[in-house]
Amino acid sequence: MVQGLNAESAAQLNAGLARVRERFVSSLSDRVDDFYDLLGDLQEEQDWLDACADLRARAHKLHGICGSVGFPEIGEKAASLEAKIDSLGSELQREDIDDVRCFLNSLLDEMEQNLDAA
Amino acid sequence: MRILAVDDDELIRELLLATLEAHGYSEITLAESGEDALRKIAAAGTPFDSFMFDIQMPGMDGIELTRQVRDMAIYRDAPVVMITAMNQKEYIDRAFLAGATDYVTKPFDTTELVTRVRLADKLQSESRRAAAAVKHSVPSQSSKPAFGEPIVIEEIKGYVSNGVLQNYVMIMKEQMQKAIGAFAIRVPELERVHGASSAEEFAYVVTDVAEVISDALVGTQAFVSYIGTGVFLCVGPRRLLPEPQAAQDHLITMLNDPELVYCEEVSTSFTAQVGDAASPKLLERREDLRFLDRAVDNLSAAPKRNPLSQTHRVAGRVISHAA
Repeated sequence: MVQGLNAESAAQLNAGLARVRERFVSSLSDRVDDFYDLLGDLQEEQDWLDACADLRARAHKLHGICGSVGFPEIGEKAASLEAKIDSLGSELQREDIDDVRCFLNSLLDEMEQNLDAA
Repeated sequence: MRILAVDDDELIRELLLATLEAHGYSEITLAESGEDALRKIAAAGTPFDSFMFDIQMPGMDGIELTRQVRDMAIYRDAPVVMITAMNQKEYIDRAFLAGATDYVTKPFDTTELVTRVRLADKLQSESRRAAAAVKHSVPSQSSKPAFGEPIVIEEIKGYVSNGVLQNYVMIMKEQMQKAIGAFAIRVPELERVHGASSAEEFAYVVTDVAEVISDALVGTQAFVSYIGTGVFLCVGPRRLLPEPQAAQDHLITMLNDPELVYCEEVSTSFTAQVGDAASPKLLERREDLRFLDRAVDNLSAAPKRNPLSQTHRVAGRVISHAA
C-alpha cells in the first residue's frame, strides 16, 4: 500500500512508476554508449572541454532520475561525477581529466552491472 | 488545481505526471523547457494555480523562468515549487530570491513530492483568502487585520511570507542541518502605529520597516518575514548573522530616518529589540520549526534601547504549516 492512497490510486501510481522504470532500463544501454563516446572524446585535443560539459549535464540528469526509479547507486555515482566536474570549476585543465575519467569509469561500472542484472 | 510542471528530462516529466495523477491532480500540463513553459502560460485559457520548475535546463533555466512568471501580475502570488538536483545553498537562495515558494531535491520520493504540492495548494488557498479579504474590505478600523496577524509585503529583496520562510528553513535544515540560525527583531512602536492608522497606512509603515531590515541585513544572506505583533523573523547562515547589539544600533538609526520609514499618522520615534540567534537542535526533524519560536522567545531578554518605549510581552508565534 502506498502511503495516503487507496488501493486503486496506489495501483495507478505503481503502474506509472513501473512504466517510468521500464523506460529508464530501456534507455540504460544507450546511456552507457553515450558515456563511452564521451570517455573517448575526453582524450581528444579539440573535444575534451565540450565533452566535460556534456558529461556534467548527462550526469546531472542521471543523478536526478535514478533514485526515483530504483537505481540509487547509479544516481550516487552520477552525483559524484557531477560534483567532481563542478569542483574543478572554470579553471578546468587538461591534466584534471584523469580524475574525471576515474569518476566516469566508476559510474560506467555501476551502470553496466545494473544493465547485466536488469 | 491546475499545475504546470517543467523539466527537460522526459522521464522526470512522466514521473511527475504519474505521481500527481495518482494523488488526484488531474489538470497537469507538462513543458520541456522554460521557453515552452512561457508559451503554454501565454496560451492557457484558465490560469495555472501552481508551478513546478526544474532549475537546470538548456536555454532559460528555472530561476529565470520563476522571475518571468513572478513579473506576470496574475502569478505574483502563485506557488512555485522548484524540483531540482541542485542542492547547494547558492541555488536554493537564488531560487527563493527569484520568488520560489518551495524546493524539492531530486531524486524525490513521491510521498514527499505530494506533501509539498499539497502545501503549495494550502499556501495558495491562504493567499487567495487574504487577497479576497483585502479586496472586499472597507477602509474602517473593523476591517483592519489584528496586530497579531502577518500582512502581505511584496517586492523587497530577501523578504518572504511566513509560509515560504518555513519552507526555506526546512530545505536548509535538510541540506545543512545545524548551520542555519534565526533571530527576531521587534519594533514596539508598530503597535501604536497599528492602533492609530488604517490598514493600508499600517501596511506601508511595516513595508518600510521590512525594507530597512532587509537593507540592514545585506551580506548576511538572511531571509526576513513579518510574523505579526511588530516582530520580524530573520533566517540565514548562523556564522553570518549580526551581533544583536550592533544590529540594534544600526536599525534604530535607519528606522528613524524619515526618508526610509515614512510615518505621517503617528508621531513617534522608532526603537528596535534584537534577540539572540537560535539554531535547530541536533537530531531535530526537518519539519520541527521550534527553533523559530525560540528565536522569538529570545526577544524577551533583549535590551530595550529607548527607555520611553513600553514593555511588551512577545505574543507572536510562528504558526507552523509544516506537514
